[in-house]
Amino acid sequence: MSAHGRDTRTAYLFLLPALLPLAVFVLYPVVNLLWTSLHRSDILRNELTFLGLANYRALFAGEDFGRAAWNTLYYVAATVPLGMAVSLGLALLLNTEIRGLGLLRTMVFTPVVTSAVAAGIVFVWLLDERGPASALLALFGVKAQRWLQSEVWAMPAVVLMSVWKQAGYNMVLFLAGLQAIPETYYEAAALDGAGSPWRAFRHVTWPLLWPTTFFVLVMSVIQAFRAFEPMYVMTRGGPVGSTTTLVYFIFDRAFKYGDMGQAAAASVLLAVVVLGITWVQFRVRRDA
Amino acid sequence: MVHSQGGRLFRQVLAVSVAVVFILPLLLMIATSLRDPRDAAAGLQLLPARVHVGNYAEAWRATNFGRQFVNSLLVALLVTFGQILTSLLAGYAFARMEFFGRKTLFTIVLATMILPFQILVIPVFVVLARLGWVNSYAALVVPSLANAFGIFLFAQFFKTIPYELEEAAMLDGASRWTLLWKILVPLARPAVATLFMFTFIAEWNDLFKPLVFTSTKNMRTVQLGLTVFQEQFKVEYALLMAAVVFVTVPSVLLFFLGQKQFVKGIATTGLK
Amino acid sequence: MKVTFWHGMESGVNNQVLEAKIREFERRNPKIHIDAQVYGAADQLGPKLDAAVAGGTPPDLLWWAPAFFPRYAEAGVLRSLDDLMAQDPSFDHGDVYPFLWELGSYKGRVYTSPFSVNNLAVYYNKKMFREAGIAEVPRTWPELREAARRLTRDRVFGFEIPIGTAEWTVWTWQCFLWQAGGELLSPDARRAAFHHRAGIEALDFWRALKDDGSATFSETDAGYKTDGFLAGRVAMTINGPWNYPLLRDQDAVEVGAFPLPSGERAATNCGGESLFLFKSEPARERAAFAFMTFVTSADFQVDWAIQSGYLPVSKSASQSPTYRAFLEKNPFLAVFDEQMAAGRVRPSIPQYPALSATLGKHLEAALYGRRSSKEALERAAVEVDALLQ
Repeated sequence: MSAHGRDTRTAYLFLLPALLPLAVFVLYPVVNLLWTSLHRSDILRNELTFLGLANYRALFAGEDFGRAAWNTLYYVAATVPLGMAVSLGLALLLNTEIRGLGLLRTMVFTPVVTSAVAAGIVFVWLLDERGPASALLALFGVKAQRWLQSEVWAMPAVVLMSVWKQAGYNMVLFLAGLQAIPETYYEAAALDGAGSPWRAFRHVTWPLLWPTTFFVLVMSVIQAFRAFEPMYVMTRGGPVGSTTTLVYFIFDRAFKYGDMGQAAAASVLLAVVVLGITWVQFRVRRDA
Repeated sequence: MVHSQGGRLFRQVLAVSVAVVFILPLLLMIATSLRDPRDAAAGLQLLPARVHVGNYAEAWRATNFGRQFVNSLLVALLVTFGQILTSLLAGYAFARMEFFGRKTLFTIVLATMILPFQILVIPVFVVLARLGWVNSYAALVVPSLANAFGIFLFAQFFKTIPYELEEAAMLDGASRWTLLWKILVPLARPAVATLFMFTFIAEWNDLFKPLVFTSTKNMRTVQLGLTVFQEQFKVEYALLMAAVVFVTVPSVLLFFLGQKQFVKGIATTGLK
Repeated sequence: MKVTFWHGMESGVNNQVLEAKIREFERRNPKIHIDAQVYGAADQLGPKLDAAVAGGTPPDLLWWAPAFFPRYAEAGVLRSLDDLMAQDPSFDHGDVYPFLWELGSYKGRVYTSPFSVNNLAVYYNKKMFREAGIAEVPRTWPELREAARRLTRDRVFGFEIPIGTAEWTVWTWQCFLWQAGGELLSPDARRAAFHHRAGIEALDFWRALKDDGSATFSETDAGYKTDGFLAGRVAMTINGPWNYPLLRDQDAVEVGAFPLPSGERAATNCGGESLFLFKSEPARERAAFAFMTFVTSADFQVDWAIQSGYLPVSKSASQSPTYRAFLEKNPFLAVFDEQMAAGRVRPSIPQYPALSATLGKHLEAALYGRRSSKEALERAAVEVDALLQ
C-alpha cells in the first residue's frame, strides 16, 4: 500500500476540522486541569500558588475523596452489569416477531431523551415514603421508608433511575448487533441440535454478539464513571454523602468549596482511573 | 431463531408490560401536566381530578419557550451537522490513511471521551471569554463541533469498506477528497443517520453547557428554561410537566421515525 | 447606559413587582437601562458566576445573599461603596439597620448594599396545633420539644430538620447555636468556636427531636422547600417570610408563624439579599450605584416589602405608617418584623461558603447518628481551623 507517511499532509488536513475543537476545548482544558491541580487556585483572581502534590495529599488525607471513590465503584459495579443485562434482555425481547415493535422500542427509548431534571422529580415522587414504590413493596411485607433520605437506600434508588434512563440506549446498540447475525447461523445450529432458545443463545447469539457486548461494556463503564445528573437531581449527593460520586465530589469542591486545586487533582485521578480501566479492558480482550 | 407459537403470546405480553413500565414515569408527567392548577398541592398523580389543557399554552408563554425552542433547535442542528462533517473527515483519515502518529493520535482522540463536561467547564469558559463568545451561539456550538464518538463510529465504518473500491477509484485519478465525498459517504448513509440521532439528542438534552455559557433569557435553551422554570420555592408541577412534555417530544419523534435507520447504521459499523 | 443585573427572583409575583420597579427607576433616570436577567435557582449561580468572573464578564449588579460576597471582595472584583455612598447625599446610610452594614463589610470597607432583609422563624400548621390541643405557641426549647412530640402522629411529624451542605442547614442551625449562647467563630475569626458547650447543646437538641421520633429530615439541600409542610407531613418547619405570597394564596394548610424559641436568649439569623457591584468603568459603576440608592430608599423598600413579603431594610421604611398598617393586616409577617430585634448576622469572611459546607457535612453525620455531637463538631472545628489559616 502507500508508504508510511506519504499521506501525512492530506491526512492532517482531513483531521484538522476535528482536531482543532478537540484540542482547544478538551485537550487544553485537561492540561490546564493538570496544571491547576498542582496549585492552590482562586479562579476569581487567576492566581496560582505552587503547592506541588499537596492537593493530592489532601485528597487522600481527608475522608470525603475516599468515600466518593468508593461510592463511584459501587455505582459502576451496580449500574453496568444490571444495565447491560436489562438492555440485552430488552433487545432480545424486542427483536422477535411481535406486534407494535416500533412503538414498543420507542417507549423503552423515551427515558433516554427525557430531561434528567424531570426524571428526577418523578422518581423522587415515586420513591416517596407514601408513594407507589412503598405501596408496592408493602405487598411483599417491606416497611415503607424515606428511601432517598436513607444512607443505605439512596444509592440503589439512584442506580435504579440510571438504569431506567439508559436502558433504551444500550438496547439499540444490542439490537444492531443482534440484527447483524445472519439467520443462517441459527438454522445451522438448529440442524446441529441446538435449536432451543437457550442453546441458540449460548452457542450462536452470545459469541457472535461479543463485539457489540464488549463495546457496550466499555462505553457503559466510561459513562458510569462520568455520571452526574442522577445524583444531582435526586439526592444532591446526599444523604451524608452516600450518593456523592467522584464527578459530584469534583463539582462540589469546585463550586461549593471554591477549591479548584483539589477539584482539579481529583479530576486528574478520575481520568487516570478511567483510562486505566479502559486499557485493562482492551488488554484482557486482546489476550482472550 | 426458532420460536414456539405459545411462546409468542408470552413474549408479546411481556414486551408490552415492560414497555409500559418504562414509559410509566412519562405517563405520570403527562397526567400531571393536565392537572388543574388549583390542585397544585397534591404533588404528582396519575389520574388528575380536574383537567386543564391550558397548562400547555401557559407553560409555553411563561418563559418564552418559543425562543428557547429555536435556540435548542439551532444549536442541536449546527452541532450535529458539524460533528458529522468533522467525524467523516477524521474517521476516514484514521481508517484509510497512513500517516505519522496515527495510532497515538487515535488513542488521544478516544481518550477525550473520558472526562465529563462538568469538570472541564471553567477552563473552557475562560477560553470562550477570551474569544469574546460568551452568551453567543458560538459558545454553544463550537466546543462541540468534534466528538471522539463520531470519529470512532465512522472510522469503524470505513474500515469495513473493501480496499478494491478505493483502489479502483484512485486508479481512475480520483483524489482522496473526491473519493470520500462522491463514493464513500453515500455508502455511509445509515451510519450518518445514526450519528445524527445520537448527537441531536445529546445536544437537545444538554443542560450544563447552556447553564454556564449563556446569561440572558433570549439565549436560553429548552433544558435550561426547564430548570429556571422550576421555581425555587413554589413548585408549579403541572406547568413544569407540560413544559417537560413538549421539550421531550422532538427527540421521541426523531427516534420513532428514524429507528430503523438508526439501528442499521450501528450495524454497518460492525462494532468490532 | 446599559447596566446588567442578575437576580434570582423567578417567582411570578415578585418578578412582576421587580420589573415594575425597574421601569420606575428608568423613568426617573432616562439615561440608564437596567437589563435584568434571572439566573434561576440559587445553587446554580455558583458555576455560572465564577465562570463569568474568571472570564472577565461578570454582571454589573448582582442580587445574592451577602454571605457570599467576601470571596469576591478578596479577589478584587467588587467595587467598594464607601466613597460612592459619601458622594451621594440621598443615600441615607444611618437609616439602614447597622448590622446589615456589618454583614456587607469586609476588611473595613462596605461592598454590598442591602436589597431586602429576612430572618428565620417557625411556620406552623394551625389546624394541627388545635387538634393536638396546643393553645399557645412554644417559646422555649423544652416547649418546642413537647409541642413536636404532641404533634407527631401516624406519618405526620411535628418538626422538620434541614440537612445538606448548601448554606441553608448551617444558616438555620446557627440560630440555635446563638440561642444556646455560642458563636460560630472566635472574635478574631481565626478559629472555630462552635464546638464548645453551646454548639454541643444546640446539636444535641436537634438530635433529641429526631430521637424522640418527632422530627423528620428534609430532602438533602432542600430544607427551604415547603413541600412537606404544605402536604401536611410536618406540623412545624423553619423558614422565612419570602414564601408569604405563596402561602397566602394556597388553601391546603392554614399557616401561622411564631418566633424561634429561646434557649439562653432569643436569636434569629438575618439574611436577605444584597446588591453586589462589580468593577467596570466609572460611568457604569455610578449608574449601577444609582440603582442601589433607589433600592435603599424608603419609597422602594415599603413598596417592595408590601408586595413581596420580604422585610424592609431601613428603620424609616419599617416604621412608616403604610408599612405598619400592612403588618397589622398581615400578622404572619409581623412575627418576622418583630424578630429583627433579636437578629444577628453571619461572619463576613471569604471562606464562609467552604465553612458552611464543612460544618453542614458534619452536622449531617451527627444527625444521622454516625458520631456523637461532640466528636462531629470537633472534627468540623479541625477542618474549619485549617480553612481559616
